[in-house]
Amino acid sequence: MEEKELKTGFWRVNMIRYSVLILIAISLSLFFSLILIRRAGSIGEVVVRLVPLSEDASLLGRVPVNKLPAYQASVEKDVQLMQRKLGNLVPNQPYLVVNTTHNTFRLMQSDKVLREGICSTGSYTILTRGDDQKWVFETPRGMMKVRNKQANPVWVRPDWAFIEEGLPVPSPRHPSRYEYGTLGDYKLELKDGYLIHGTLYKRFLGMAVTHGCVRLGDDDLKVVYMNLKPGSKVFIY
Amino acid sequence: MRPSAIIKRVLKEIYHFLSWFSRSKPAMILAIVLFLLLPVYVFYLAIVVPASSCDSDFATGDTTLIELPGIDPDSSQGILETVKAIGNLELEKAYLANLLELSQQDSAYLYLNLSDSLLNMEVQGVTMRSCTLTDIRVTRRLRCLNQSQLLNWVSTPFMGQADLSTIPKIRYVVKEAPKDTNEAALQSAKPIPPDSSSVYFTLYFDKHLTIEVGQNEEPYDEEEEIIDIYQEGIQSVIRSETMRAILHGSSPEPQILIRLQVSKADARAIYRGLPVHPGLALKLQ
Repeated sequence: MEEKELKTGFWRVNMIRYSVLILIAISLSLFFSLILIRRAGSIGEVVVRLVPLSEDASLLGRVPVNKLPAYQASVEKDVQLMQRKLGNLVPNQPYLVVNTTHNTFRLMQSDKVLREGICSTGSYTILTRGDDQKWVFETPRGMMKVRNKQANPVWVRPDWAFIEEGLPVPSPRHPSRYEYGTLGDYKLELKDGYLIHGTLYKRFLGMAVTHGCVRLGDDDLKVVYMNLKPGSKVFIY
Repeated sequence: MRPSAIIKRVLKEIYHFLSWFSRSKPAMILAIVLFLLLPVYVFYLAIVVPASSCDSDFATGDTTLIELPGIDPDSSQGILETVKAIGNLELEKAYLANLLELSQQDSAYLYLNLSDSLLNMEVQGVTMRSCTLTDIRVTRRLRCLNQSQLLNWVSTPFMGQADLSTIPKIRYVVKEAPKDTNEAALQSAKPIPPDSSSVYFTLYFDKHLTIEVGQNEEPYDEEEEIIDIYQEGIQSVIRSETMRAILHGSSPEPQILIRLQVSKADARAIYRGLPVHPGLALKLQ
């Protein structure tokens, strides 16, 4: 009876010890595994160094040895053709590149910079009225073409220009819609009513303040107006 | 029971446990086996397999050396030189083809030229921003790809899948229309000053390519937290992918990481100018 009790006690003590041991071993194991997972990238870099570089001559499986020079010439020709095609993508005519992040512009012709400076672009403001009306003031990105250009432009104020000032929106042809001088000396139309034009607020040049149009200083606008024609490309990013 | 007595008791139990452990051989073996089992498994799946299988993951098929019967060693060397030159030309052709393909899109894409240390953002073949890379780090894994594997890897443009960044792509400000002219006059017309916060971003592309871009300039002290969150984000992506693979009993996809450094202005313009899923043409040599 006493012996049995002793045996049971022995097994109980050992079971507890083994359980503790297993728990500690698994915890440590998990801990080191997580460290390994966390450092897998950097340790992997070291291991990759040990992998021998594989030699490659699979081309010889595709092209017979005696046809190698002809194949080389044909690849060279393809490369030259592609380089020419890529070169042709750059417009020969002057084009404009506008950076909406830093509010700068570059007037280019091929790889030559004709003029660069600051501008103002969309303010990324969302104007809301009620639940159903919303205007987003941002400059569209991508490649656009100049549709039209005009000296001494008149600004036909859209609805948002009145709503933004807390004014009632007049009828489409109401005289209060027409403003002279606001757009500066010139305007170049892009798409969907977006323009490149001048500004009365020159202190804001270099900042994101517009309703989506690109505003330029007077001298810059004149150079851009003189160089860009209907069809000229404008790249905005 | 007093706290000192509890501590004494615990220390005594630990002593007994350790002395039992040092005497019991089966316990030691069990502990070592249990301790090593998982880390060895993780090491094998997460590190050894991706490192040793980088050939097969990017393999094009036949990459074995072809015997050149009847050709003396000297001319064989010459042929291999020609093969190498053709290989370089094929890589050049592949990246030009990628640029032509990307130029057909309306949105901006990246052109990364590691040999000239250039990162360009282009639209329809026109460079909008060209950045000089001041530092380039490329993962060693790229080294174990041979020419035909590289050619296969770069044969189509890389397409962006996701990104992480310390700055938002666009920060919109929502303004409620004023009810009258008085309310309009009260609304602030002050423009938001240009953002000067630090720029770090990571672009995840298909075909296991990750590009990390960071600014040259030292970040401001107060930005430490946001940069830590960003770094933690990168780590958690790697960790979760590795974990997921290991839990499925497979090895994580071997990633190719390219780390670039540009000026802060360039980094900001590139990140903001890129679409959510940008294309990339990569020129390695």
